[in-house]
Amino acid sequence: MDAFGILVERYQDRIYSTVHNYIANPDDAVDVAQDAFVKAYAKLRTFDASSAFYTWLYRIAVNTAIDFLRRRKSRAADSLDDEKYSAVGFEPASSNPRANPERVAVLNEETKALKAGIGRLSNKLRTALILHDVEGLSQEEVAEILRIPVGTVKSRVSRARSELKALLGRQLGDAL
Amino acid sequence: MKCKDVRNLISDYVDGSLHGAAEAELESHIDECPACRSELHEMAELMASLASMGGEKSPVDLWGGVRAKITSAEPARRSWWVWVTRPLVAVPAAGLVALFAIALIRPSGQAPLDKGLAREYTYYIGSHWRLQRQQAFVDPDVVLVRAELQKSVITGETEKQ
Repeated sequence: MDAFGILVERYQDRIYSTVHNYIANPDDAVDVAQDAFVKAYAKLRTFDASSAFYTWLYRIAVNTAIDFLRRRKSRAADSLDDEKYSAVGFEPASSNPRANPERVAVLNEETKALKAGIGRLSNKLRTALILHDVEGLSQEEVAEILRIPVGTVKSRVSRARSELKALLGRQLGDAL
Repeated sequence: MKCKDVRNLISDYVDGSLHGAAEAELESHIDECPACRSELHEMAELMASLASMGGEKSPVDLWGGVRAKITSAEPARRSWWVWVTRPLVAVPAAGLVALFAIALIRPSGQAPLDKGLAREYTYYIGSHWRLQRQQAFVDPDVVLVRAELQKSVITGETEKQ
């Protein structure tokens, strides 16, 4: 396998998982995760070894996912985008036969409520929350990925939690 | 500490980043205030739920699709770089850059460079290069990135032949 293939294999789950938090449709999430790796390959010469490869990769993946959502939103032909899917608590079924059937069939109420709430946050708050609270990266790692100070990460995560809690409101109490 | 202050600090407390007097004051308030205790409980549950959503596995092996996309984009992406890295172009270009650098560093009519300074500069460049190499050995990802870049140059040369 190519050296880059080993890197893809090493990080594909982390990148897919992160992207899937932005994009509800698993097939689209796979496409976007692949696009992120293709972009990383094309930019490989610009990678600065003074930072960790995976933080550089996460940055590309987050930007690719956000760009994808922007493009979808701007397309008038799309009557249902991912955020609308999430907002009504529905995840489109995957046409991929290897996708986990339990996950494709139905998400539990709690996860649906959380995904809908996360989808309503601003990109900045959503990204901080996804990377830190969902994917479990440290504040320092998130700071390196987003190229912002650790203090800013801390404040974004805190605001994101408060907004998410407010958004979920009574629904959260029922779901948790 | 008032309820409003506690609400502002709950996020830090749950993260474990609240220490000392602030932490003690918050805990003391939580013990006495059912509303803030409930708030803390909800926040902890929210974070546990968020954490349970992470770490999902990719339903497919991504490398196949990535390789296909890279291969289809390869000729256009590589062409200019292969051209630049060919010795016939790269060697004269490096020579020109070196001449330009010498002209900048040593304007005509001035004394030659201080040899001590030159040694210092060489040492600095060497240290930088050694540091880069050390990082490459420490981080296996960087080793793979460099291997991939090296391969693309070699492949370019092979295609040329």
